[in-house]
Amino acid sequence: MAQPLTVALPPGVTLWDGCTVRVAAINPTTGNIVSGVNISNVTFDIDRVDDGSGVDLTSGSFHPILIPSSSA
Amino acid sequence: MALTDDQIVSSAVFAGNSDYVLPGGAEFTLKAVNASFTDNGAASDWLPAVVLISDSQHVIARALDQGVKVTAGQSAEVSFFPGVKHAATASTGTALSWAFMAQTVNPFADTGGFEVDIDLDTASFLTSDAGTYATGVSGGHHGIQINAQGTYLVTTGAEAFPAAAPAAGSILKVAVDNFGAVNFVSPIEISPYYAIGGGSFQGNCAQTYLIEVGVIANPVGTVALLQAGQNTGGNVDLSVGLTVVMLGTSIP
Repeated sequence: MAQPLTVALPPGVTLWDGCTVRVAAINPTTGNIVSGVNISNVTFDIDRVDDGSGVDLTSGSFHPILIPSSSA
Repeated sequence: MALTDDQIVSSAVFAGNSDYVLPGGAEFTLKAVNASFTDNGAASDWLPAVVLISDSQHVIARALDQGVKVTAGQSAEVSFFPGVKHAATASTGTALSWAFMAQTVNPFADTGGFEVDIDLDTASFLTSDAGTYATGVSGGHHGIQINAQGTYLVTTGAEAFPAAAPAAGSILKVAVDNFGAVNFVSPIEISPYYAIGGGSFQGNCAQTYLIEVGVIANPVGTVALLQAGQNTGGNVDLSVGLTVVMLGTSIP
């Protein structure tokens, strides 16, 4: 099993269309992306600031997790 | 306006970095990120990171921690969320510097109950710090010379076996001493002898004392000595040890 780690994320940063959330392995000395590390199973938890109507969060291979409505 | 909580996921595998570009009209606050990092031949150690980049391609923030470094060849599953604080790495501490000397005196004659300086064996000298300690001589007796200012704990121990049954009420004594230094002389520890079977007797005592080196009475280079005494009415087989430990370089 891969080692479980935690890293602090800056709180309360609002992102808008065109912004990028990049998940990467960084060289601790140069700050450059380290080749030879694969990134997968990326999950975001977000608070939407847009009204959520008519805006599809799908982008590239990313897509919203659809939760079935309890009233369905 | 009420915020709505959503999750976004990608199961795809990306080499080096995985980028999510917010689509048109989207706006959100990022609360948490989780990702799997699989080392596939990285040439160096690496830091798992989330980098937030504006639509003008300027870095807004980097979420990474030099204390969360993954060794090359290792993989990790990493969660990023606000408020993470890592416990400080436990300190291994700094090793105390010390010195030790010993001596066996057999026979050690009756001193009339008075304590006398014991000439410690220079061949028994041991130390972890030759810059601070050396063998030294004070009043014609060898002891541990202290060559650095500081506060020291000095301990002595003595064990004695009388050649014959000791006189009633006789004692063994041990103390820390420095020739001519008034505030270096420790209280004297006194022990009676006790029977250990087979007609033999034994006495044991020890003394611990705190001294300051670097003051007028005990200048740097002063020599710690050991004193012992007995009044059994005969000889004893005496073994003693003297240990000096530096507690710190300051003098309270």
